Amino acid sequence: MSLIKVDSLSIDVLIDGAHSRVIHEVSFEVEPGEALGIVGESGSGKSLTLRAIAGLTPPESVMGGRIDFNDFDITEMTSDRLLEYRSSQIAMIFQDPRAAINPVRKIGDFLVENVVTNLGWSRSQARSRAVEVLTEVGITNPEKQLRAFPSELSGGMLQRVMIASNLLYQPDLLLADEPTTALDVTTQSSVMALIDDLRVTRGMAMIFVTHNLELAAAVCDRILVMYAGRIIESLPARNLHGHSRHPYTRALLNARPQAEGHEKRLVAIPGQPASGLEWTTGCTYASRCSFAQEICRTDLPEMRKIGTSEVACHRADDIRWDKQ
Amino acid sequence: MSIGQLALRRSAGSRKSAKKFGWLGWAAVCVLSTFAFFGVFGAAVAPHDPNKIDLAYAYVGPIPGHLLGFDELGRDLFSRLLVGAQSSLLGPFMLVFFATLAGTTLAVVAAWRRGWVDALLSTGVDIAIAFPGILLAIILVTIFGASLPVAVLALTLAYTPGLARLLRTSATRETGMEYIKALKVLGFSDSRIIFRHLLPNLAPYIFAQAIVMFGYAVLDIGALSFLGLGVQAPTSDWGSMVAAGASGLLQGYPTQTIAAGSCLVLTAVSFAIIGERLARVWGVE
Repeated sequence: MSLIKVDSLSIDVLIDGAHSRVIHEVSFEVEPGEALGIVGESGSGKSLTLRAIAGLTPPESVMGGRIDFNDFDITEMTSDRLLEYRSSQIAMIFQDPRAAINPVRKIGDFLVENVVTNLGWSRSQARSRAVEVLTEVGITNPEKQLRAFPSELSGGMLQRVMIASNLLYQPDLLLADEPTTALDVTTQSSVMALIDDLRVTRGMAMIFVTHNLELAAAVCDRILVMYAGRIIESLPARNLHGHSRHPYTRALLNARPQAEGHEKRLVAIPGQPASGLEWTTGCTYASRCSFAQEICRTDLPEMRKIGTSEVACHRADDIRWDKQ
Repeated sequence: MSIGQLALRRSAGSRKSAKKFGWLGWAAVCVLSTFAFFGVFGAAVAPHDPNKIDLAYAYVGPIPGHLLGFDELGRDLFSRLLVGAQSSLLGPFMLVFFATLAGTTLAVVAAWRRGWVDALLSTGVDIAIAFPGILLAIILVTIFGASLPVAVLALTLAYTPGLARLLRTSATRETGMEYIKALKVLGFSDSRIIFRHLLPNLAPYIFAQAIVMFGYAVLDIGALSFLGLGVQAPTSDWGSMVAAGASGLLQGYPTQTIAAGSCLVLTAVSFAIIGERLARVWGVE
């Protein structure tokens, strides 16, 4: 039984008084303990999909499809059940910890509030546990930090506090929304290593949203590539480099800098990234794709299995990548 | 502005707060503390009975023991000013309290629920703002009779919409912040997020607005009393004292009007200064 099962999720958001669909037919599953990476450019809908799993859809948006957590549809949950689901079964790490932690409350209050109010722990028990988890995420002098305000901590420290807040209890699913994007490059890797380590030792499942392909491939078991509000490829993370099938995935891989052979100019993907709003009859990537043929502009490709990948591309089996 | 920048600005503000609040701010605090003291203890410290009439002393100027002289009925002016501080400040205080409570509630409900609730409340507020407060007061006084509670009620209805509109903007921005979403994901109930997290973050906006509003409230309650729609005789009140002194003004005895008017103006100006300085210190201009 899968932990999370997203079935043809669609989200229509209100833009200038009209509802427009920005997430189209997104389906995937996450097994207990599995790490799933969702990658894509800005505006591809990866964050929106993640937030829908936490029950956070934009105001006045309309959601279609199902999101099942342990076979319970979260859109059908009563408000009590939803509060329980959020407070004890999932945890979320946000992109910018400074924006995601109430600036006028102390770190200690932030850490213990959930377990004291929602899970009925005693305050002293929660505080001693908070000291433990702060130590676990590598914060020195945790007793002192409990009395600090968020503005007194650096971004990397705050992100560690945010991670710590999710470790006080034992969630089944960790939702990480670009957890390292707002941090310094030097703290990024240590924070990511921390998340990965804690996730593996505790056996939590994770959905990790990022635009960093390398990072996703390094910490995840499976990768979903999203473009314009659709999933266009799903494949095991270890196959990302050698066996990805979609031209867009390949283009993304080519567009990132390499450690060796730096004489080459970086390859940019031509054109602008399409958003989920743009309406086309065919493949949404067709206008930027160098392999596009007539069928790509007229027919929407369905997801189909090729080798170890599932890919939505008409030409996925014609293109011989090793000759490129 | 991100919350991070705001936090930085707030902490930078607290370092410079003494400088930013300024001597003028502290002077205003002194003036208001004095008035507040008389508002509470005025009757106890007044040197004479403020309502004792002695027509023989009508319009007599300052004499030893009577610092400001006497009014048109021979009552001690200084004592009346001290005792009048109570009704002159209590009315505005109640007005500010109720209007802030109502305005904040409307703003938070609109910002939290969004959608049709927000649209309905915002439209209602826009309509209410178009309705003049003094006119509303006159209508209510006609129905319920002239008294301080009626004046307060009328002005509360007049003040609430403007405050609700101002605070709704801050509340909408604040509810859109990531930390509110983070708290939802942590599974907190709406009421807990609103009372424990949203309102403390809105507090600087609410207090700065309330203090500025207090200045206007003093003048408006004073104006209603001046028109005879607020505090009723024989209770002394600065607004009605300005009106009572008007006849003396024409006969060359301006002391009562000037003294009571000065108290009103000093109070209003002090509140305006403090409100503005606090907004600067808190970074919520």
